[in-house]
Amino acid sequence: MYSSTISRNHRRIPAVIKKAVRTFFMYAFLILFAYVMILPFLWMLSTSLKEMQDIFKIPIQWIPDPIVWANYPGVFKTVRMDLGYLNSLEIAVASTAGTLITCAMAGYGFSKLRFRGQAPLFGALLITMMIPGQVTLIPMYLIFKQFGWINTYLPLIIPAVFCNAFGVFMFRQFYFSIPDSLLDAAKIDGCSPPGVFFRIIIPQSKGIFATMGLFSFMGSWNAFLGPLIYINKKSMQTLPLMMASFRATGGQSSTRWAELMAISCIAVVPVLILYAATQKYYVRSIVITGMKN
Amino acid sequence: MFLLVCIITFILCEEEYMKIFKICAVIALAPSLTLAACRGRTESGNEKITLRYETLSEGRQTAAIEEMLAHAAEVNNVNIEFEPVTGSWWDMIQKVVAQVAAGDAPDIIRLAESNLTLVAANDYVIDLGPRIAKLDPNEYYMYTFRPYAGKQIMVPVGIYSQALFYNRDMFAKAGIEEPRGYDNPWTFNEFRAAAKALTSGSGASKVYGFAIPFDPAKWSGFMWGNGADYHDANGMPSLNSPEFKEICQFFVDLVRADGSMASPANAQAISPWDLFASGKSAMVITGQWDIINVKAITDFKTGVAASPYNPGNRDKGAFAAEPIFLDGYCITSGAAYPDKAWDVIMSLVDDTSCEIMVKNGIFGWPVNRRWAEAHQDTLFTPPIDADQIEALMGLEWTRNWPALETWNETEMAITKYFQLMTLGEMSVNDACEALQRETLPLYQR
Amino acid sequence: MAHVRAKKSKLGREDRIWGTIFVVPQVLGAATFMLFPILFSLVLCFAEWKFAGNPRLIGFANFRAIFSSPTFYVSLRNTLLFVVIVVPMTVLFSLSFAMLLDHKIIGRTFFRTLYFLPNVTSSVAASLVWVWIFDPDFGMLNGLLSRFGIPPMQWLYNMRMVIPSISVVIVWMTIGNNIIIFLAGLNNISQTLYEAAEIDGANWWQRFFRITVPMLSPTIFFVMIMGFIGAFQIFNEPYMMTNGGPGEASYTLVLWLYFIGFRYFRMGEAAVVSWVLFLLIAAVTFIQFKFQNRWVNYDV
Repeated sequence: MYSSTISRNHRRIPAVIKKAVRTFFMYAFLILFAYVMILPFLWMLSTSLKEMQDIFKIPIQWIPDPIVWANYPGVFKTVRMDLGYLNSLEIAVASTAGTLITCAMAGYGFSKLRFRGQAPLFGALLITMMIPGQVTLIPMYLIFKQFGWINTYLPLIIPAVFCNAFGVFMFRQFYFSIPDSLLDAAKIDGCSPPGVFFRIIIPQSKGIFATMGLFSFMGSWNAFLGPLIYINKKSMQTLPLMMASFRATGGQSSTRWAELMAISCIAVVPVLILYAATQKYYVRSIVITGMKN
Repeated sequence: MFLLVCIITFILCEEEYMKIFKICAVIALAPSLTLAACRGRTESGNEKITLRYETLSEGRQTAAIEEMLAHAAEVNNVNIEFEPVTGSWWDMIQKVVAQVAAGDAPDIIRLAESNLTLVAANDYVIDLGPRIAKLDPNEYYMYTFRPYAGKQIMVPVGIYSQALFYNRDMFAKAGIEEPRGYDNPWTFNEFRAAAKALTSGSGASKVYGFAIPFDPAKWSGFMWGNGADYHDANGMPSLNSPEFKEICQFFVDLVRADGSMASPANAQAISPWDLFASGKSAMVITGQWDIINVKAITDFKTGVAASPYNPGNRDKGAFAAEPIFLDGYCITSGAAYPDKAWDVIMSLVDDTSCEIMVKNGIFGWPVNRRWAEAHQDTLFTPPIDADQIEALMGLEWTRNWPALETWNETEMAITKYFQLMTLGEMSVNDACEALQRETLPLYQR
Repeated sequence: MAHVRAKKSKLGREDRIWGTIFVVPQVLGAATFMLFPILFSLVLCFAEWKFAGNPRLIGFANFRAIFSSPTFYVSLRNTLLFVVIVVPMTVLFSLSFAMLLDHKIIGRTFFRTLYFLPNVTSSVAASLVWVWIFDPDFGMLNGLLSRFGIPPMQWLYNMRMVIPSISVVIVWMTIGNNIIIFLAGLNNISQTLYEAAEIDGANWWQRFFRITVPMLSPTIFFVMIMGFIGAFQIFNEPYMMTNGGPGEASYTLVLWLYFIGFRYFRMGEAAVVSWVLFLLIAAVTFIQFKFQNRWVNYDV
């Protein structure tokens, strides 16, 4: 009894220092890496406000001198940003909504239900991620041509919704962390699997919905090759296609960095807003998943 | 494997699941099939022919292209559907081959040289030779109607040539005589000395004498300047010729011995043009596509001159040479109305279209010779800050480039070994011999 | 007893029916969109195809061409090297950042946003800035090193350093997403478990290995599987930063098959490379799934 009090006292004083040191290193670590994380983004921002000849000045002018706002109107003059925004939003919202539904369903099916052929089917889904897209590009085009989907947004939305092994896998892994005891209780009470899904699983999976929603949105929002291949009409172009029109063509032009960065900055906004909106689902609260015992 | 998995699943499944599968299949496929049926129906009753035109379109080209198409549509009484592609030519070729594979290619495609040889060799586009033969040779720059894989498949849009752009302030400060035009171009020795004298600083304050894109097509001017070539008269690679080794050694010396040329590493980080524009390189080789950027430079005065050459190799055909770059209109093999498409193409290189091109500063030098020569003085208006603007007009200072199916692979191999040479991983001699050994089988297939 | 069994079997039946229904949209979608492309690429392995017309069967010529090319072995080696470097680094860094950012530290939202920024930075800008950081003359990295008296060196334009250098960039680009995945996973671990452990006197390491890792293991497993699949297919970064150079020092299998397919128009050979790659990935994934029982904790 006596000795234990002593030792506790002994430990307490260094513990404070230890904690301070740990906190210090934690912040040092975070700040150091934050610098690396943010550097390209800062460059993007500051370049969007520069004249051509200042862009590659060394040392880098982080605050442009002079500040050139004209790059932003310049972008709007060159491409129909408003159209691009709407087009990209249409695709991203549609595919995100669809993806969340189908992937959550399949993730639940593959994790919490037992049925025949479960393992081979899941394996087959994983296989779809293992073949490089370069080889499947043209056969996919042939399929969409057969469906008459060329020059529509369907090739950009439907496969993302109905052929998304990444999403299924992610939902599956997260649903494993929902205790079976919780589901079993509901089942014994006469809840059918869809009932369990809607009443227990979905309320439990806000975080994963937020995560997948964000990923899915970003995936569609930044997709370049798909829209490039399947979209012909100028009025249907998405934002990444418009961005590409400021890039060097690999021969007879130079990249227009200032305007490219300006359009990139404008394009980032919805993703950042979405990120901010999903933030609250990652803040730890006292979650009910600990109801195991 | 996937099929097997599916079949196994179906066998394993009890009948009730089969039913569910079938129902779901119908539910999933019905809307898509309906949609397909709706999209498949085309409008009828429209008398006008509709042609599809696909092109790589940089942001600032789009409006001008649309204007040209409107003109062509009006002249030929057709509808033209404009299908712009953004990105690089390499991005575009992926789309083109997908369309070709699906039998869905547009009628007219604008393609660049890097894509043209394979497109020609595999008959994606029709041979325009007979049609081109009927053109008036005084009307166009006929030498630009090059054969690709043996066929004339393209009507050039415009001609880009390269030239040596330089920072006049730096030359004045270093007290070095400026480079000269095609009547009396710099020699390699003068060029090397100047580049070395213009190089200064180290680390962040480094200024290079010279920068050039490390793209074999773009330094072919220097190669011809030394009397070398990628191919011999029989169309076989000649990448181990003494002249070719010399010019490689010349570049390796600039990079490694003098440090006066931006190495491929620097050129990757900051493109040669961007190095020049930000005052980090005194000279750069670039093409007419950058004139619009040259005009935007306010920090220093710019000049333009001819590329240097090696007078010692004049007997081997060395001259101050510039590569020219072309892109042009092709008609695809699946086009329903090739004659109409040809008429449209002709309207896209007529006087009105040339005016639109030049007004918007796109597509380089017009292929329409009669019009271009009549408007020679105003082609690059407002004129750039240079005495020797004629350096940009050195269209005749070029050499024919045998466009072979194997070019893309050869180009890749040259780039690869060039990097190894400038890194010092391989001696120039070894690298050139290895290059020849590696490329020769491609041509013997 | 019989009653319970009847109830169980009824539950099992329900599970079977509803399980099938729940996965059907995805399975059907995969069958519709991926079955044909995968079979098509398998056929292409034995064929010559220049995009126009039908593939012409040529037996094993494509295999001979690929396996006799030295570039194949270089690309394979590079790809494996990328995998070996990138996957552990990604998991390690994203997990440690996620754990730091999961703490109730001051400015947590701020830091979380900063660490998310690589995800939204345009990839063109990001690769340019990184190439710039690595530049031997103007680069920030050499600038920084020179302050400590370390002589400048080549990073990307160096046969031996190029893969580690690009790996850094790939890790940089991928950890943002993985941090989010881990944060969502950490969020699911009940705080009460930690509190209980603290009362039992467990120190940080014990808590980490006894609670965090087991509870997070399904997520770690997911990140690892996806990391392997992604790392085997690395294409974009070498394509944008070095185009495979210097020499062939940063060729990956996917970069090479892209060149073969779309620059040299030899789709058959590209298909062979893709199937080699596919078999590699499938084997690695299979092994991971086989061994998951040893460490992944699905029994919550």
